[in-house]
Amino acid sequence: MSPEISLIVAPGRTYAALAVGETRIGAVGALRRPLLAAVVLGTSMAMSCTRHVTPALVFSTTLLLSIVIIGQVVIAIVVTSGNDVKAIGRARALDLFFASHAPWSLWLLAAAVWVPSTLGLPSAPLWLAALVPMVLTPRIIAAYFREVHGFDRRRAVVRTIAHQALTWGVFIALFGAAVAIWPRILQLLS
Amino acid sequence: MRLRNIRISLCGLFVIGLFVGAAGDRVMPHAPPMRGGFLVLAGDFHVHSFPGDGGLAPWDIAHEARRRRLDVFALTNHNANWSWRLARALDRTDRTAGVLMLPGDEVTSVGFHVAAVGIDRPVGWRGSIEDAAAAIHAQGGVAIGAHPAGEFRRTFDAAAYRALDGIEAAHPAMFESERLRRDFAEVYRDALAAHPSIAAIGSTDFHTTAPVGFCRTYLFVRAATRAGVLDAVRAGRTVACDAQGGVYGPPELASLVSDDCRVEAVTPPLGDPLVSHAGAAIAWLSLIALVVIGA
Repeated sequence: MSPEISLIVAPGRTYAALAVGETRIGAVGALRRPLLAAVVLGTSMAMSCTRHVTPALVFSTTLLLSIVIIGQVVIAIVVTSGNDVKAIGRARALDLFFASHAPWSLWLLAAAVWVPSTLGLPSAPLWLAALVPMVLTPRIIAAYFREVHGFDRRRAVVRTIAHQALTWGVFIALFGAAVAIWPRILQLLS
Repeated sequence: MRLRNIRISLCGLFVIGLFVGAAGDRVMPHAPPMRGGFLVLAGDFHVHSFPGDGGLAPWDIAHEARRRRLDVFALTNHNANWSWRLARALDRTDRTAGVLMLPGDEVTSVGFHVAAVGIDRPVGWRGSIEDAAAAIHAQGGVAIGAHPAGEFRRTFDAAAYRALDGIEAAHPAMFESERLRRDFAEVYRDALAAHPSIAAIGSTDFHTTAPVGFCRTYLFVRAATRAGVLDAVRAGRTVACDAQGGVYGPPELASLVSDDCRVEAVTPPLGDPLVSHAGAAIAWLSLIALVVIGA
C-alpha cells in the first residue's frame, strides 16, 4: 500500500515508519508532493469548468491555482517551525507533511467528474463527500506531529488545531473577499 | 525502482492525455451571421473568473467561450475587477481566440446584484439600483439586473427597471425550482411594462460548473466591437436564450435566432467530443493512480 493510502487507514503507524524509513531528501525532492497537489488542483478545476483538458489550459489553471499550494506550504512551514526535525531534515518533514494531501486530492478529482449543474447532477453529494477529507486530514496531521516531530498527544492536537485554523481562516478570508461577503452578511442581518 | 518507473509512466500518460485533449479541441474564429440587417453575436454577460470566485483565467474563458460558440463575454467578479487587470497587464484582453472580452464587475449589494458591463473601474455597492446604474452609465457601461429572482426579487421595482439597460431573463437559477422560473418570467414581464426597450439578457453566472454560454444573449449589432455590443444592449436589440432552447425578447428578433437557441441547447462544444473526452479520461485516471501510489 502506498504511504498516501496507508496514511488514510493508519496515519500514526504509517508516519512512524516513514519518519525512520527513508534518508534525507533535497529541496527538489520536497517539492514532489506539493507539485502533484498543484497539478491535481489545476486539472480538477480545468475539467470542472470545461469538461476537457489541454496542455495550455492545465498549465494555466495549475500555475494560477498554485497560489493555494504555496499558501499551504507557507502555513506548513509556520506550524512546523521551531521543532526539531534534525533526524530527517526540513525538506523531508515538508514532504511527509504533504503526504496528508491525498484525501483532498481524491475529493478534488471526484469533484472534477461529478460536476453538479442545474440541469444535471445535484451538488449535495459532493459537499457531503467533502466531510471525508475534512475529518481525515486533521487526523493525519495530528499523527504527523506525533510521529515526525515527536510531540505528545496534547501538543500534537494544539498544532493540528493551529494548522486547521490558519488554513480555514485564510480560505474563508480569501473566499469572503472573492464573493463580496460583507454585503451578503448585511443582507442576511436585514 | 519499479515504483519509480510506474510513476514516470503515469506522468507520461497524463501528458499524453492532455495532448489527446488538445487534438479534440478544434477552435476557430468564425464570422457572425447577418440577420435583419445586423450582425448577430452570441454573448454571456455574467462570468466570474480568476482571480476572484471563478475557476478560470480570463484568457482561458475566452478560449472556452469560443468552444461554446460565443463571440463576446464580460468579466463580472463581485465588486472587483482584478482578473480584468491581470489580463490587461499580460496583454491578453484583445480578442483571444477571436472572442471579445469586456471589462466589468457584479455590483454585489444588500438586496440586489447588478452586472456592470463595459466599465474599467468597479462601482460602489452602497446605494440603490438606480445609484449603481447611474455610476455605471457615468463610465459608459451598461447596467444589467442580475438574477432578479428569489430573495433579490423584491428590490427590483419600476424605478429600478427604468434605470437599468437590461435584465437577466434567462439564468441557470431558473431551472432550480418552479418558483424561481416563475420569478424570472414575472420580473421580465414587469420590467417590460416599466421599460419597454429593456434588453432581455441570458447569462450563465459562470463560476466553475455550469459551462460558459449555458444561458446566452443574442445581440443584433452594427459592429462586432465593444461599442457595438454596448449599443445593442442600450437599444434593447437582444434576445435571451435559456439552456432548454427558450427565447425571451422582442418577438421580431427572437424569431431570427430561436432556431439557433434550440440547436445550441443540444449541440456539444466545437471540436471532437469523443477525442476530447478520451483525453480527459486518460489524464484523470493517470492522476488518480499517481495520487494513490504516491508522488
